[in-house]
Order: sequence, then structure tokens, then C-alpha cells
Amino acid sequence: MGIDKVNNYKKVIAQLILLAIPTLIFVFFLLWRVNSFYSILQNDYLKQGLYFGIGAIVAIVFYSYRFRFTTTTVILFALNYFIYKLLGNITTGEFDAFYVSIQFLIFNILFSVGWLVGFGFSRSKYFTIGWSVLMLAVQIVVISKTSDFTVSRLISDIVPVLAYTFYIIYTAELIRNMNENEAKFTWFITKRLSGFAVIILLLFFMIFNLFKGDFKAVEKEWGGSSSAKGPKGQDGGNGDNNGGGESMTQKDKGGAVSNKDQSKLSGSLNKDKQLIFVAKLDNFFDDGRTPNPLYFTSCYYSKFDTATQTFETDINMPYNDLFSPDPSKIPLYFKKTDQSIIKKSLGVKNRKTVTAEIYNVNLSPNVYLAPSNAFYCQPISVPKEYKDQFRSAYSAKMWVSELNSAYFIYNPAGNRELERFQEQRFQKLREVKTIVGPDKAFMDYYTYMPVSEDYNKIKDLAINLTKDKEAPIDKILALRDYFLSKDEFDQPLFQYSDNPGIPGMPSANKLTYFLLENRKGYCAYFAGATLFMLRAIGIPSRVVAGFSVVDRSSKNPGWYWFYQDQAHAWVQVYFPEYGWIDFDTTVPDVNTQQAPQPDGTPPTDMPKTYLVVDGIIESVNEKTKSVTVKTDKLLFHDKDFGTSKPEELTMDVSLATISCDTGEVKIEALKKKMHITAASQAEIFKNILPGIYDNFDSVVTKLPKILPIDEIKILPDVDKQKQKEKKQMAQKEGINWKKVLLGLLFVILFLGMLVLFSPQFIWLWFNSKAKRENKMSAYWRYRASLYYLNQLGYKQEEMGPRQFSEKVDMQFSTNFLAFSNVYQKLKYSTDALSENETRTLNEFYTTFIKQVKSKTGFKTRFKKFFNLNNTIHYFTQPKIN
Amino acid sequence: MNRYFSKIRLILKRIGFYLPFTIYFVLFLICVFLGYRWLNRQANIPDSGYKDVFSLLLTIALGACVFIICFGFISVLAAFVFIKLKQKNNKIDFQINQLADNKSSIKRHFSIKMHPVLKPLLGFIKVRLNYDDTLYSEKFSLIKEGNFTFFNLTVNGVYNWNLPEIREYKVQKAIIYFEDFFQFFSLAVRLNTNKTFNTLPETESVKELKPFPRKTEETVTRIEELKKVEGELINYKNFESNDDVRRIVWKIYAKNKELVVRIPEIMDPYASHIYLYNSFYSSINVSGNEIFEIPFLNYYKTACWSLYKQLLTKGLEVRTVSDQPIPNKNFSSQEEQIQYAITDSKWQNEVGLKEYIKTNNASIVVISSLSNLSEVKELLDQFGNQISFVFVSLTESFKKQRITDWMTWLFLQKEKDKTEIYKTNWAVSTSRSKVIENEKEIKELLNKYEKSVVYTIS
Repeated sequence: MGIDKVNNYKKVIAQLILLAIPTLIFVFFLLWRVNSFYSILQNDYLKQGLYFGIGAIVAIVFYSYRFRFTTTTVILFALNYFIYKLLGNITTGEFDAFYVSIQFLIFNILFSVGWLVGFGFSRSKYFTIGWSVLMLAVQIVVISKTSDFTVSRLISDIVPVLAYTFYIIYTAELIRNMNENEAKFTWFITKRLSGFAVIILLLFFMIFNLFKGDFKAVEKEWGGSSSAKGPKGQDGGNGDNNGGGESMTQKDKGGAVSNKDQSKLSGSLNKDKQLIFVAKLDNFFDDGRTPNPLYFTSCYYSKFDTATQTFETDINMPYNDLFSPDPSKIPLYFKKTDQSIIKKSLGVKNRKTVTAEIYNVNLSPNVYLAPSNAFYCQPISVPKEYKDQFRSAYSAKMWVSELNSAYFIYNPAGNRELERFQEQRFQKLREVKTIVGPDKAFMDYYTYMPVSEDYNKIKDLAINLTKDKEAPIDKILALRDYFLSKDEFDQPLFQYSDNPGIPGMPSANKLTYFLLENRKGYCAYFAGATLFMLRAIGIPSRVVAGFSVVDRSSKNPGWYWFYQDQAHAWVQVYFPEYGWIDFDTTVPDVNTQQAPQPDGTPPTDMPKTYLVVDGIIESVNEKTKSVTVKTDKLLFHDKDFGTSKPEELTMDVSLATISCDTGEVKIEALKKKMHITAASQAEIFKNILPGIYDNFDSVVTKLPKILPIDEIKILPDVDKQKQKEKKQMAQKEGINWKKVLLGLLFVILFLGMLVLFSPQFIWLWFNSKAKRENKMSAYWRYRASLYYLNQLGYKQEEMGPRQFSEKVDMQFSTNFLAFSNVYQKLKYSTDALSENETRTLNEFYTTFIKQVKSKTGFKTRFKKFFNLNNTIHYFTQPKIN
Repeated sequence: MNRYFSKIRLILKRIGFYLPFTIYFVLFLICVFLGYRWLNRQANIPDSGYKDVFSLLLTIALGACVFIICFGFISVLAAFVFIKLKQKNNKIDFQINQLADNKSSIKRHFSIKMHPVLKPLLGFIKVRLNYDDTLYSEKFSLIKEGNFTFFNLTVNGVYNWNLPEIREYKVQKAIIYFEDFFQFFSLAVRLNTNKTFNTLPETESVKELKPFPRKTEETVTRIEELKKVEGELINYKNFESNDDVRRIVWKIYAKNKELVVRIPEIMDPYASHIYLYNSFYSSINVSGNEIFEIPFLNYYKTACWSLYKQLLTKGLEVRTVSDQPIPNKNFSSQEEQIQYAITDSKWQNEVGLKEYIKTNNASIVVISSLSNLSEVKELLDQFGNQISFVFVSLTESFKKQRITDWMTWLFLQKEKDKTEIYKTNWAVSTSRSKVIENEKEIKELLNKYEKSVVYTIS
């Protein structure tokens, strides 16, 4: 049975060469980009591209025959599905089966996509539009997520996709519209495609001129990975730059620092020696004098994204014991507590409550940092004399495990004294024989490990390292010691490095590479590797991000200075009853240890705050420096008072320091309806004490009429700020777009106007030529007169000069005939002009135009001068003799 | 009500023809909109350049789209303005002509020429023809002819038009579309034309007939050679104004100044002519029914014409009689005239078989499944042994379905034509049983007579 064809061989060849091959190249490119960044794809882009290509090419050839799409594709897909199922069943060995069927699945997906694309190219009229827009969108996302942000890189990434998008729509249409019976078919296609290429080149030229500035701005802001990958000495102060390399911290627009809520394993780490915050930790050893430092926690990385090899936070983690209030949103001296944290910390043994005061130097105002497990936050004021030094401060309370002293956590790295000290902790933890979580979900979550060949290697290593150990703590120590072990040359097996580099294969598993090959890395590598080794042997664990503590001087016991390079990641292991216990397996970084940062002077002699008023401003008097506030919340001698009926209180703010998120501001910044917190340390309140039975109203009556205030903090208006941000974003996105559109509209309008007014311009040109006195003046006057008449609708057509002149003279009562004769004489005769003729020549033009003008109304003239037809007619008519 | 709807549909369709953009453009806009929304919904990655790079790339992509689309639009607009100006000055020359047909194809070939036309840069010029008042052809582009020059104001090409109905078509207007390289914009200009084309019936091989001429006719045969004048005066007559001057016998004129001409020879006296009657009479009302008016009528016309051609090739003298008025036209031969008559015929319910057939001369009567059974019976009873009745079974036009057809349908997509739709409609048609019953009975009647045949196109 012969099967009819939809597309003949010429069309099929054109589709294969002009559609399938460019698509294949583009898909290779896309897969290569994706493979470079997603390890799950195993860096097999050539093979994957090939699968896609086979699908597309076979489909183009197949569907050039009159095969029905639905039935054939359903059968194909069903067949694939059965093979997939079959492979899963017949291959021996569980892992092999899994591997083979996954391989087949990848083949299947790509082949099927290729098949659909092939069908689309072969048969569907509208397919290419959807496909090209989809490719454009996908590429934009891929570039944005995975590219190094340099101008050349961005251009080389976006150009192919833009070119491809337009090319594929155009070419598909071209092939559909071409007639295979047409002679010189190849010439037709070549001609068209060349023309289109010119347009595309023009487009790119325009784009890069138009957006050059934006590209550079992006590169400046986010790019420059090359410098980040340089030697350590070069990236020392490069805190702004976290595009190419990775940083343990992030900066907001004002330059404030916080820990990141995710950490990607990257080839290099950027560090800065900037002071971030200062903390007073009320935690001492039993002697009451020796400070007992604690690591400061910011967040927990309990999840790992295998695709991007990124550690991530997860608000849904079981027994989420992270307390993360936004201190900038809590009114000054008011507190926020979450007692449930204590329960969720799962720690009952060796726990105590510790308080701390954190003075923010360069920390993001909305970030809350404290040793784990914090459950209390109270913003406090910064003494006046330290205002320049500290932006804000808060006090924190924590449910701290005594076993989480920094001295217990530090990686001893051969320090015998430290090892001996840590032994106490291990003795205690050795009592725990097996680790059982509070429930199954908890254990499943915190011992989850991705399944792949790479993670199996980690698992094998962990099992091997801990095979002789019984107690969980010994297993943990065996893992920690592995990082400290030495090789056959007595050199440390692992080294700390901020620039560990990336594996040769871009998508290879970085943790396996770190553990088994490179053995160089920064804290995230050590923590990550430890995490998976722990989880591999069934010990629930998570990674913590925060700041490690360095006890540098004993000048101010209990005070700690935190610099940006102390941003750190370590591991927490769950021990029943003890809760989460910290372990730092990172080997010491020689650089940081050798160059300790100096401690400063801590803020001391804090005056006592007696009164805090929280409310909304009703009025501000800048002259008298008084502010009226409607308040429903008071803090008086550390006691809270609230009411449902807000009261108005007047405050004297002449001596007050006023501050907002970003720092100190003037009284003019206070506006009606603003939410503020005002604190007073005035002695006047010292002796007014609240009684046991006092309530809000009674306290207010006790207070003086005008309250002396020492400090005012403006609280950000959440809704307004969000709206503002949204508006800014919208504006940012809208402006460029509008600009392009407006620019184009303007150009079109300009061209349109130019065309519309061209008769006028031509007339101005003729007129100026005609008014000049020279040898050619007779010619130009004649031409100008003819043009003027022609534009007004008096066309010479087939008439001779004399006939036409007579007609014009009749119409306008001019002496055009006389002038015409003179002109003809000048043109064809060698005789000199008579005096009369010369006069005619000189006087004719202005009077003629005047006369014609007077005979045709302004309105008619105005209208006629927009008639392009007449203008075209003038220039296309046979040359005037 | 139906009429009302079809009128609205027609108006909407016409408006659709003049829309300045195409469905591609709408689709493109929808895709861009969806893509844009999808992109905007992509989760932001904090602390990375994602947002900035993303908005920059998005702006570039949108900017590029706007640029290239505007470019395309301007090129279309320029071509449109050009033709409008030329049209205003009546300077557009539009010609459409039918070319000789390729017998095996149902497509008719037309050559179309336009001048002067400015082609949109890298774009397309397409044409849609408006024929028979309310019907429109598909939008098509021409198969180029002539030299490939870079700048040419003439568009010259061929269109293979699928006109399956055997009838006359009147092309009244041509809509010229100027489209850009993406075919997003389509600015239309209407040009008037007035041309008539026919889709003629084709000759198929048919069952052989052995008819006998029943009509005796005087055949006037022209004398090819002037013969020597001999014989009696009876062979001459006086010259009349309509006589051929070459027949004047100059010898007689030389003798007695009388202009006489020789009387032509008369060939007789046996039955010389076959009279073929093609009855388009329908006993049931079929007006407006597409199945009867298109596939059945086509089949019937092909049968009539093939039969006529078969008779001609046998060297018989055939005359046909039409049962409906056929416009008078100039034809170069009788064959063409008959072909046109068949082409232009329609089912009619006014002239029945009895009124139509002159039983004294009819040799062959072609009847269809729609013929009136009682009339056929009556005629057969009387003249069944003298006149050949040829019965064209219309339902034969739809070949019977086989099981393999079903398999073929499942896996193969046939070229889009209406045959499948007609087949389905016919399968559920209310007239189906009536027609099949009629066919069956006519066939039974005919089987009794040796001269009559049931006709099939092989």
C-alpha cells in the first residue's frame, strides 16, 4: 500500500536542514548550559541532544507521510512506557535496574520532546510560534539562574536564543509558503534567508547599542567572577561581590550584612574583615569569671537541593526550633518571645537560660542572631555616646545547652588542652547508645539522603570510617578525625581553602569531589560533607549557619566582636534529651587565625530606661519640639501596660535622639500617623513606681503632662514599605519597556510627519532657489512656478508650455505666458534678452506667486500642500521641455 | 433563522478577511503574554543577580520582538500604501486566466498577474478570490514565474485551485494581501475582476454500450471538389443569396447568363443519428442538499459526458437534448457545446422523463437514482426494447467501505476534502433509504430489458 505524502522530499530536506539542525544546535547549547549547572543530568548533554535530535528528525521524515498524529504518537508513547517498565523488571541488580530505567526515562523524555517538535515542524501551522516563545522564556530563566554575569557572557547567551526565536518562526513560515514546484527553489530560500539575516544583524546591532549600559551595570553589580576566583589575597575586601564566587553572608542595599538563607557550594568564597556586630554574652563558667563563648546561630540548612547543589532552609522542618523575629519591627523595649522553642529544641538535659545583648554595627536591622535556641527578643536603645558606632541593639534570651560551649564545638586540630576539655562532653554523650528521634517523621527528615552513585560513595566512606565505633558520639568523632587525618606523607589530608575550585566536570558532585579528590574547601564543604556522612550512618543532623566566636582578649570578659569572616557553617547532631549539639568539623583556616581582628570598647554604663511609649503620632510641633502620640501600650519600670482605649500623650523630644532603620534622623522626619516607640531615662520617673494594682489608665494619670523623652525609634510601616517596593519594582520594569515603545512610536511619528510635510519642504527648497539671482534663476523660477501650480492641482499633463501658460494666465490673470516665452528663448535661443524681457524675468516670480496665492484661498492651499499624489505626479511626469 | 445565521457568518467571515493582523499574530501575542507571566512567576533567587539579569533579558527580548514586528509592519504598510495610491489612479493591472488542465488532477490551474505591486520586504503577497457572489477561495500564494530579479513591480504566478464541483465559476473579486515575513500582519486590498471558468466533466472509462440510431436525418454534405457539371436540370437550382458562390456553375452562366448552383448530394436514407437524452430530473427535493448537489451531481455529469465521448469515439453521430435552458455561448465545436451543457446542468424537478423524451427518436436515455420510478416503468413498458436506458446509480459514487479503510483512517490522514464529510452525511441522511429503494427498483426493472444497462464508472 503506497502512503501519500504531505511534504515532498524537497520540503523534508528543507525542514531537516533549516529547522531541525538549527533547533538541534540550539538544544545542544541549552542542554550544555543546563548540564553545567545541574548535576542530576550527569553532564551528558551530547547524548541528550542526540536523543532529542533523533526524535525530531525521525518525526519530520515520518510525518512527511500522511500519518495521523494522535494514534501514531499514542502507540509510540505506550511502547516507550512498556519498555521502561520492562527494563525496570528484567535488569539484574536493584541499582542497575534503577540506573538503566532512569537512563531510558531521560532518553524517552528527550526523544518524545524531539518527536513532538519534529511533528510540529512538519505539520503544525502554529507550532513554531509557541515553541520559539517557550525556548526564549526557558533560556531567559536558565541564563538568569546559571550564567556568570559578564557582558560577553550575557551577550553570547542571549544572542543565539533571540536569533533562533525569530529565525525559526520566519523559516518555518517560509518553508510552508514555498512551493516545491517552483523553479530555482534553493535560490529563493537563500535569497530570503540572507535578507532576513541582515535584518537580524541590524536588530542585534541596535540592541547592543541600546542596552550596552544596562549590560555593563549588571556586570558591575553582579559579575566579575574572574576576580572572585583569584587568589585569596585579592578577594579580601571584596564583600560586595557575590556573583561569581560564594559568600557566607549577604549584603542589602545599605551594605548591612546577614547570613544567607541558602548556601551554594561554589568554587570560591568571598570574605570580608568588616565588623558586623558586638555581643555581650552573659555566659560564664562555674567560676563566674571565665567567659564561656557560644556560636551564634542565624538559620538551619536542613535541606539540600541536589540539582543546584545548594543547602537551603526549610520552614517546614520537623520541630522547627528557629526563632527568627524581625527586631526592627518590634517596638523599642517591647519583647517578643516564643516559649514553644524551648519545647521544640528537644533538649532537657544540661540546659540553662542565657541572656545576651547584641549591638548591631553592620548587621541587617531585620536579622536576629543569637546562640541557639533563642526564644526572646527585646530591642534596646543604644547609649547616646555609642550611636555612631552601633545602629541598633537588642537583648536575647536562649535555652542553651551547656554542652554547646564554643570550646566544646571547636575543632581541636591537635590542641591537646582543648581535646582534654572536650572529653568531658564526649563522656556525657557516650551515655547515648542509640539515637532515636521523637518520631519517625523527624528521623526520616533529618537522616534523608539523596540517592545516586555519588551519594553512595559518601555513604560507603562514612560506613567505612565508623565501622569500629559503637556509640554515636564515637562515630561522630571518627568522622571529625577523618578531616584531621594525615596522608602517607604526613601531610594533612584536608585543607581549609576559600578557593577550592570546582571539579573539572561542571556538573560533577562537588561534595564527592571535595571528600574524595580535592580535599580542599571552606566551612560549607566540611559541614556539608559531615552532614551527609552522618546522615549516611543514620544520625539525624543539620547544617547551621551563623557566626563562630573568637575569644580574642580578656579585656572585657563576656564581650565578643564578630567580623564578617567569622560567618560560618557547622553541623548540629541530635542527641535524645540533650537536643541539638553543635560540632565544627572545619579544619582551622590558617589565614584567619593568624590575623585576629582587634576588639573595640564595649558600650557600658547603660542608663536605666524607665518609660517606653509605643504609639502613633497625632501631631508634631517642630518649634516647641513636642510630639503628641496616641498610645495603647506602655512599658513602665519594665512592666507592660496595655489598653483598648488609646490615650494621647504629649512628649518633649528636644533632647531625644530619633532613629529609624538606617540610622539617626532629625525631628522633621517625624510625620503624622507614624508608628514610633519613645523611651525615657529621665530621673523624674525614677521615683514614680507602678503599684501592683495599677493599670494603663492609672499609670497614665501618674505620669507628668509632658513626658521628657530621650530616644525615639521610628518603626517601619510594613504595608507602605511593601507598596513602595512594589512601585519601585514596577517602575523599574516599566521604564525600559515604555522607553522602547515610545522611542519607536516617536520614530514612526517623525517619519510620518516627514512624509506628510514633504510637499512643503520641497516647495521651500524650490522657492529659495527661485529667489536667488543668478544664471539659473530663470530655470528655477520656471520650475518653482510649475511645482507650485502642480501642487495646487494645475498640472501641465500633455499640454505644451504655451498652451499651459495661457491656461494659467486665464485662471489667475498673470503673465505666465510672457515669462514662459522668455524662459524658452533663454533655453533655446542664443539671442540676448531685450530690456523688456529682462524686466519680465526679474519681476515675474514674486508677483506671480502673490497673484496665485490671492486667487486660491488659504484653506485650499493648505489642503493641497498635503496632497502627496500631486507631488509624486510632479516628479514622475515627463520632463518639461 | 438558519439563513439569518448564515448571513451573519458570512459578514463575520468577510470582516475576518480584512483584519489587518493574522491568527499567527494573535497566537504570538498570547504566547508572549503567557511566557511573560510564566517568567514573572519564576521564584526569585535572593542575593543573586537573578532579578536584575532577568529583567534586563526580558526587556531585551521584548524590545527585540517590538523592533522586528514594527519592521515587518512598516514594510507591509509601505506596500499597502503604494498599491492604494496606484489603485486610486486606476493603474493596477490584474489579470487572471485559466491554463490548460492536467487531466489527472482535480486542481485547475490559473495564471495571475498584477502590476505594479510593491512587495513587502522579505514578506509575502497572497491572494484570495471571491467567486459566485458569496464564495471565497483559500488565501494562497502564487507559484512564481518569470525571472528572479531583486526589484520587480510585477507579481506573476500560477495558482492550482481546487474546484471539485463540475460547474461554471464566476470570479468577481480578488483580495490581495500584503504580509510581513512572520505573516503577523495582513493588509488587504480589493481588486475587481470578471472572469468565468469551468470545471468540466472528465472522461472515464465506462461500460460499453451498443446503441442503435433511431433518427433518420438528412445529412447535408458539402461537396468538397467541384465536379464536372453533368446530368439533368434537376441537379441545379437558381442561385439564392445564401448559397455558396463556389457552387455557381459558370458554364451555364456563360451560356445563358443564368446563375445556377448545383444541389448538394443527399445522403440517406437510413437511420443515421443517435439521440442522447440526459435526464437531470429529480423526483425528490434535493435543493440545498450538498450531497446531491455536489458529489452525486459530479458523478452523474461525469457519467453523461463519458458516455457521450464513448459514442463519439465509435464514430457515431450523436445529438444530445438538454432538459433545461442552457445559456447561449459561442463554441468552436459541437463537442464543446455539449460539454458545457452538461457542466452547466443542475438537478431539476420541472421536466419529467415523459415530457423530456421524444420517444420517436431517442436512442439512449440516461437516468439517475433520482428519476421517477413510475415514469421509468411506463417508458420501459412501451419502449424498453427500442430505447437503451442507461441507469447511473448515484450511490455508487461513494465506494463501499472496507474494514481496511477503517484501519487506514486510524493511521493515515487523508488530504482534506469534503468526500469524507459527504460520506458521513450520506450515511445518516434521511433520503438515503428512499434513494436506495428507488435505485433497487429501477435496477430490477432494467434487468428485464436487454437494451438497458446499469452504468458504472470504473
